[in-house]
Amino acid sequence: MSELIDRSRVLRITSIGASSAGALVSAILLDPNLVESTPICEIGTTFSCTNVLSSPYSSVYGVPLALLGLVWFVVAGFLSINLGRERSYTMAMMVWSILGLLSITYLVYLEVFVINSLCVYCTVAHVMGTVVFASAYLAYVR
Amino acid sequence: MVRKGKRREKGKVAGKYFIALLPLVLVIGVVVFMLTSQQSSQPLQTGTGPGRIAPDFTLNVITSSGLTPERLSLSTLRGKVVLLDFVLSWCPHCNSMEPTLKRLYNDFRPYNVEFVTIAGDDERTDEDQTAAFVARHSIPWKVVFDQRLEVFARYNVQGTPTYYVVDSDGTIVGNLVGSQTYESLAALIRRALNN
Repeated sequence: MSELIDRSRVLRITSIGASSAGALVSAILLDPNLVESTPICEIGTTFSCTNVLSSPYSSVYGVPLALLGLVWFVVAGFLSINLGRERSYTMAMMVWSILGLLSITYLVYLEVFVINSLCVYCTVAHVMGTVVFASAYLAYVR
Repeated sequence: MVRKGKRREKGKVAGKYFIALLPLVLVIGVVVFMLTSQQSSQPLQTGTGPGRIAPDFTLNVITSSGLTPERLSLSTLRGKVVLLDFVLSWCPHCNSMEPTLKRLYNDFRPYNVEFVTIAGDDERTDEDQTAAFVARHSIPWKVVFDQRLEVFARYNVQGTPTYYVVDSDGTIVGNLVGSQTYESLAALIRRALNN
């Protein structure tokens, strides 16, 4: 029983941590000046925040994707508070993280096959998103 | 029997962790793939490759007062080395590169080198903001307005600023993406002049 409690606590903390980190990175991505002044952002053309953030895919109907990412991580963070504690929250978190994972898949596809560049900050956010998914899934199938 | 049950349980747990960690492994795999493919390719030459004929275009000239009826075609510049500068008025690096481009323009103008800025139009900029960009930097060369980003697409511009240097035969010598030093652009122009 205590092992079960400990495990769900670990998943909760991991999910909250990843959501917070993802929200922070998304907030940074909202300011292109700040991002583009980071030296690690421009490594040749394969790793180029400029290429990704100035592409037509960086916003949807004028709304920056970074803002959508920030909203996603903030909601994920709130849902994570009760992850593994209440079944309804865990279920909601599972649905929310599948939505996030599908978006990440599409965004990584765009970066690799359409824009031909990876944005380092975006990749950090994508990794955080998959960590949130992993926590939600493990809490759901517990 | 008990051992079989334990094995099955272990397999179930492993399966759960596999599904949970698969997306993470895939994202990391993509990064590693891009990193290794970058090492085996030339990092600064992408899109329309060197040695190819630069795609022709005809666009309206935009000045600090706005869009003009004057049309400029790349083909009319044949016989001269041309630096194509793809920008978006809001892009920070495009703005910060203008003084470097001006220095290059002043240094290479005597060698019959033409500069053309192709300003794109997206949801974050428009005709007025592009005119303001021209005014802000007092750009002395021709600036054309790519309203539908058709020329951007033809040159496979994925980020701004992007520079193409075309030699006097209309052949692309090379292209550079992102903020550049004076020397990297000057080296490309010199190479075009020596062609």
